[in-house]
Amino acid sequence: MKNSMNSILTLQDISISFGGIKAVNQLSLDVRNQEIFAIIGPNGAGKTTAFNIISGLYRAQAGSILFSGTDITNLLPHQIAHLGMGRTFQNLELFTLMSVEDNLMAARHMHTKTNFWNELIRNKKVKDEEEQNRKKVHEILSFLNLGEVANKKVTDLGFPIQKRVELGRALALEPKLLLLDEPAAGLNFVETAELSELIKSIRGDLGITVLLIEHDMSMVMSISDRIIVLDYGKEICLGVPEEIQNDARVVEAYLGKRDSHA
Amino acid sequence: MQSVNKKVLKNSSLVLIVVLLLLAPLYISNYLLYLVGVILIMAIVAQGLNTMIGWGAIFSFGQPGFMAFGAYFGAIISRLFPMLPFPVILILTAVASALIGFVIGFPCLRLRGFFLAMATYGFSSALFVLINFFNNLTGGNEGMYVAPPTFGPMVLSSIESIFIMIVIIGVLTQFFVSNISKSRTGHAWRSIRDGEIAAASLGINIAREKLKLFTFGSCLGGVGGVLYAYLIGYLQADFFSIMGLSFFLILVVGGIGTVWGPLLGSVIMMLIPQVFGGLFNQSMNLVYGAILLIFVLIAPNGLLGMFGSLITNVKSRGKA
Repeated sequence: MKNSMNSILTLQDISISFGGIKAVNQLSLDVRNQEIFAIIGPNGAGKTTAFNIISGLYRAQAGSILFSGTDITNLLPHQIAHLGMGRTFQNLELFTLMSVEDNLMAARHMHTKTNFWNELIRNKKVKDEEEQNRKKVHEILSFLNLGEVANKKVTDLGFPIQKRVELGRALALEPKLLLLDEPAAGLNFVETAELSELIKSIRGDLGITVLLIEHDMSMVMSISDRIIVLDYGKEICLGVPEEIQNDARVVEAYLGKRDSHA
Repeated sequence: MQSVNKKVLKNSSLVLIVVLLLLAPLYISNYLLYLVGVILIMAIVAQGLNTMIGWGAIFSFGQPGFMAFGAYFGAIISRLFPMLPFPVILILTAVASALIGFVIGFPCLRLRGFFLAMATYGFSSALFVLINFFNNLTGGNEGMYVAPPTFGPMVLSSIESIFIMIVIIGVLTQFFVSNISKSRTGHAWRSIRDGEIAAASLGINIAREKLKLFTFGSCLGGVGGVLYAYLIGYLQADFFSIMGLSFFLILVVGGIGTVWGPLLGSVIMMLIPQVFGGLFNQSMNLVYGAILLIFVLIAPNGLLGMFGSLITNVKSRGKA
């Protein structure tokens, strides 16, 4: 199997079930290079499960996944990260005992070449590389307007800032594909608008493909190139925002059938 | 500019302390040399445990075992090969302890928390039994005498020369640990402590880094052990089996996960019996227990953690 010309991530008939419940059921999708692709659907539709399969936390029981030309179906999370996939988590997974800067420095792991023995004596090579990494980290922090909190502990920051730190940590990987799990959850109207601009600029200025799960429909409709709607682990609809908004099956999945309770 | 001055101040005071320690044989008694030597050794071994717990959340009860391994390994090879100079014995012991750490860590690190603690405790207990079992090598219950370290034709039997050796290794330990803590590996280890899933999503190979960390910590345990063997000149398995919780106590008092916590904790925990020994000679465990309780309740991050947060509080107040 090969990625078709233009696509960076291809899922083919992915399934996983937990205790008889099919969380993801024969899901196929194709994310194109440099697009903003959204996964939406009601609670329990299997969106986060799909993310966890893509990033290697769960192993698909059937189907295959291709990421930038490599079959990642059976790879471990850290191996997938090495291929250029970064992600954030629905319930923040920050390194709470570290400073903001150190959170991002930890993400420079795979871009650092020094070995343990050099690090023990901290030779010039180690210091130079650390300086480069720190520079990159501060570039990302200022891109996200986080320059001022660089030396703060993450637990001293408010929730919206923590979310941006987690985004920064994923960006510090310099990924080709960025997975964002509900980036707008818990943000107010203004913060959500800022986030929309940020995601557009992550794609536009940094050239990173974005795959996101989101419940905030106004944001999804305004920034996404294409949207897939899931319900009970299955695709019910795929298309550009206008198509999704006008699809009867989507309305049904969110609100229920018109006559079913009557 | 101010931060540069601070750095110079910090470095020069560190150099001063090291020089004072190296010259200590000139101005303090042999008993005090012995005491400071034990403090430094405990700090080295505790530093090994500190990196495991404080950075990798690896709760190992294996440290007394690794210390015993290092002590007996060093003592046995220096008896079998008397011509080996002490730096060679030291390096061989470090390598052997790291190797044992690797072999023990490989299966044990699949476990977590309580189960990991039990498995490593099992390693220590089994080792003490083995030491007593192979009595033709180790002297068994009778114990064994340790040949004084040699360096070419010199026999370094005096406590002064052993003390200086301990100071050098202690300084190297602090140097290595402080370097690692700033580096790629240090960041990876601490990220494992704070969240394995997130760490993996950043491309960090959790299993490999944990094994590296366990091997490193075990190596420090073994190195401390061989120095201990040289310092006291006589070994019995019981010396190590009773250490059980003392390294945890040192870390809790000094501050888990800090570079200087193990040293501070060792100083305090070793001086307490000197101060209170007369008062509570039969019930030192009572004193230790009370100290542990007080720290866990009032200052769970140890003395360094407490001072650290005080300093940052004052600093941020100054800025506001």
